[in-house]
Amino acid sequence: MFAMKHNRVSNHKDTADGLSPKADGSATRRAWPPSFQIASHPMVAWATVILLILGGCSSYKPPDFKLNLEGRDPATVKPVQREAIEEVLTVLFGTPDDPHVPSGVDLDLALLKKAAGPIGRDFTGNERGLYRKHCAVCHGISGDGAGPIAEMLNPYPRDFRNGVFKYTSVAGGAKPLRSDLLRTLNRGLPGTGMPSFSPLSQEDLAALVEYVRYLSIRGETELFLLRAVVDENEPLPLRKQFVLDEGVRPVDAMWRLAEEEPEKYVVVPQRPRLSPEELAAAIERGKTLYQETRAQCTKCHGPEGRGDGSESELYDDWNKLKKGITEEQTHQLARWFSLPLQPLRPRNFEDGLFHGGGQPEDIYLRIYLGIPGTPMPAAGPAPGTPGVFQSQEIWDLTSYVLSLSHRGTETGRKVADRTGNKLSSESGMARE
Amino acid sequence: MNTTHSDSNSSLKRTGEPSAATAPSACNPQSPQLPHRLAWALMATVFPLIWMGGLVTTYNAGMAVPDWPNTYGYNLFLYPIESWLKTWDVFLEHSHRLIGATAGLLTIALLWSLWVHDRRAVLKRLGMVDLIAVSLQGVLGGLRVVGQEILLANVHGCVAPLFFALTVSLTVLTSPRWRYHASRPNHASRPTSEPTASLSIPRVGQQNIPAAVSLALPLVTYGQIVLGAQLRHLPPALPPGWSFWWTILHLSFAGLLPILWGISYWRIRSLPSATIPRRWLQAFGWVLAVQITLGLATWVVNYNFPRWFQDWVAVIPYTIVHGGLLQAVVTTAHTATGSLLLAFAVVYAHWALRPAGAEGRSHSLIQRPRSELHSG
Ligand code: HEC
Ligand code: HEC
Repeated sequence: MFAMKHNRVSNHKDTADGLSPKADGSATRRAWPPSFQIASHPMVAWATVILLILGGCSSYKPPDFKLNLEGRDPATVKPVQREAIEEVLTVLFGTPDDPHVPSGVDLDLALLKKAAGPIGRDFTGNERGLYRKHCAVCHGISGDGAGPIAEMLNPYPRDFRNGVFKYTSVAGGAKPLRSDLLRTLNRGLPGTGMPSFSPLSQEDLAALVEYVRYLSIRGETELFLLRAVVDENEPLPLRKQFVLDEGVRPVDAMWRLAEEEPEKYVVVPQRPRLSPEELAAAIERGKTLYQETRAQCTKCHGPEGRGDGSESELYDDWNKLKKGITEEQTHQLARWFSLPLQPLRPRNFEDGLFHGGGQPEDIYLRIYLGIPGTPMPAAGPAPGTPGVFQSQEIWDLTSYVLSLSHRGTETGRKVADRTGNKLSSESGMARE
Repeated sequence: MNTTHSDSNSSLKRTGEPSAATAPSACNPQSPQLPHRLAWALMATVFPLIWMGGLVTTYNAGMAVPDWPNTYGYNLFLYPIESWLKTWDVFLEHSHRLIGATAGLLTIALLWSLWVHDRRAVLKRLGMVDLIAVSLQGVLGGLRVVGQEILLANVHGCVAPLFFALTVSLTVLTSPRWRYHASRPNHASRPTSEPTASLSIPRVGQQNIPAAVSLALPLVTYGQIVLGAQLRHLPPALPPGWSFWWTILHLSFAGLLPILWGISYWRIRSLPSATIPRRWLQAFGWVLAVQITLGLATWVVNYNFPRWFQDWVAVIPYTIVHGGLLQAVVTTAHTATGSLLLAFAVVYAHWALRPAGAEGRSHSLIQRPRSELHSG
């Protein structure tokens, strides 16, 4: 608008000039489009804006961890309770710029320091702030899975704070191994927003893995504190020893389980070598198992594995809390969560796209362990439960599931046998 | 200028092509080409500079060098080559600074040449604005490092295309072709039967190109760049709702641009007199098509295929590789092409909005009575 007005005004002037050329050549102004006579005006405006900005904020303000109020009415948390929780968390775990490790907890502080803090290098060239550089846009400073671009993604980025991970190799509710998290970082999660970070160095990846563990352990301690202080009215001020004994140590113990007793918790897939005939037979057996009622697979994944089972309304653990009984209730609840309700779809096996990886070993682990944090149940045995299926049957199911992704094609069977599907080799997941 | 055209005019019409030698100039006849060459050189430096800056953002390397204006304590130009080439993010950031400094020096040279060789006062002013812009841009980049401030990185990213557009504008205005057309006879004071139709240029509001549409093209393009910059400089503590709305706006503007382009093109598609703006508009259309494709690709290489696409169109197994070649090239190309698009829009707007004092024929018929009143 502004520019146009100018334009019209100056055109006027030009025309007047044009018909009364001045002998001294001063009419040269006409060679110049009037719209640009105001070119300096936007610049002036910009300069003003910039000066204002420079005046306001040229110093670095460290970010804070955000208190985990997911699903809570903020009004129900008294300011004193809030302060008490934040204070004890800061004492134990530090801040996003300066992480601490509570004594005895299995976290490597040197690695954490590399991942924490603002992005950049110091004068010796050492880099820090890796988490903010690579992860925070999605997973958020606090690891709440509600980073700035989270809402654009389906599924949402993981909220690390309840310590639940989908793609692991551990049974019985144990926490993932470092190598599980590292595998996720190296390969990414195909078909989701979670990238592969294979271009990063091994040290950087180790630092990031450690930081994810840190955010999880901190997050679970925070949930413990919220339960104790807000729900159970633990007397204030909080004693540090109480928080360490009741909150931090049990969480730490969970994270140590699988690392310290792998033979009990870690599932190691041993892929059978099958001839083409054996594979065909395995696929047939798998199909029968798949359709058995005890497997329940069809309930969610549908009779043909097209992801169209009768169980249509599924949510993962992070979203199911947002679902009220009525529409109205769901609407009400939405205010207390960072991200809107997002339904979960069982996989359609014909797509041949597996988030946890498409190798037979990956599918085997998914069926064996289920997908923690989602309705997808574990079919294999775990400490304390015999399991629905044993190893052999799970391999048969795996062969069947993989055969669906290349249904009817001759290569399908070969692919199912050798490489699972082409995905993993194609998408730059060179390293593991 | 009007004083010189009457004699040179006949030779121009015969050749039909502008040339430096025959273009009667608003410039010093000794070296009329110098400002234009320098403007070209500057433009050819700023475009790679924008690529480099885009790469710095893509790789999140803005803080790879902790100090400014020095680099790890060294003077910008004395930083050892081994260290410069050793680490990728340091390489990006330091190279960006070096090219930036080159652009600064070229801008000074350009201003000097305008001062010496060009008589158009307004060009001198524009040259000065260009110098102010490049200095501001350098300081902004520096303060972004010193203050570790992502908001300044954001503004730095938004000023870059402005500076580029300004440089493009200077390149157009110093070009022989522009000067040639600027020197066209004023038909209002001449017989209107002269066979110059193919060279004359439409005039705002007179020959079917509404000023609003012509101006809207560069303005909306720039708005789109600013929106894109918001998406690329999200403060990590920003709640998710923000970028959602930025995205919606960015997508809406992306839808608006082809419409604006279509309107503009419709208006001048068959005007014999609008050859030059029409060509630029066509070029803009092609770049726009490339840019929209790159935008969609940018979504995929950063966020993966959206759910609706997987549900309704096709499931394409794809894993994002963070910092992978594809992600870096596509994302940065999208940023840089944004600036290129702005450049095309600016050139188009120059030609479409050219003051008609020099050549517009039809309008002069309309304007004559009033003007005669004035001059009388
Ligand atoms: C572009 C967004 C994005 C970025 C950047 C990103 N992630 Fe993720 N991440 C996701 C999404 C989306 C998921 C959830 C996928 C799902 O639920 O299937 C996820 C899941 C995860 C998981 C959970 C895997 C599991 O087994 O449940 C971990 C761990 C993780 N990310 C770590 C990281 C780390 C560390 C970084 C930085 C180096 C990072 N992510 C960067 C989007 C991202
Ligand atoms: C209660 C519903 C439910 C049942 C029963 C169920 N699944 Fe799933 N399954 C899911 C959901 C939901 C997902 C997707 C999880 C996600 O994306 O986070 C899934 C994912 C999968 C995947 C994909 C893993 C990947 O990496 O992408 C496989 C394979 C799979 N299921 C196999 C089976 C088999 C075999 C059975 C029967 C033994 C079964 N599922 C039973 C709900 C179910």
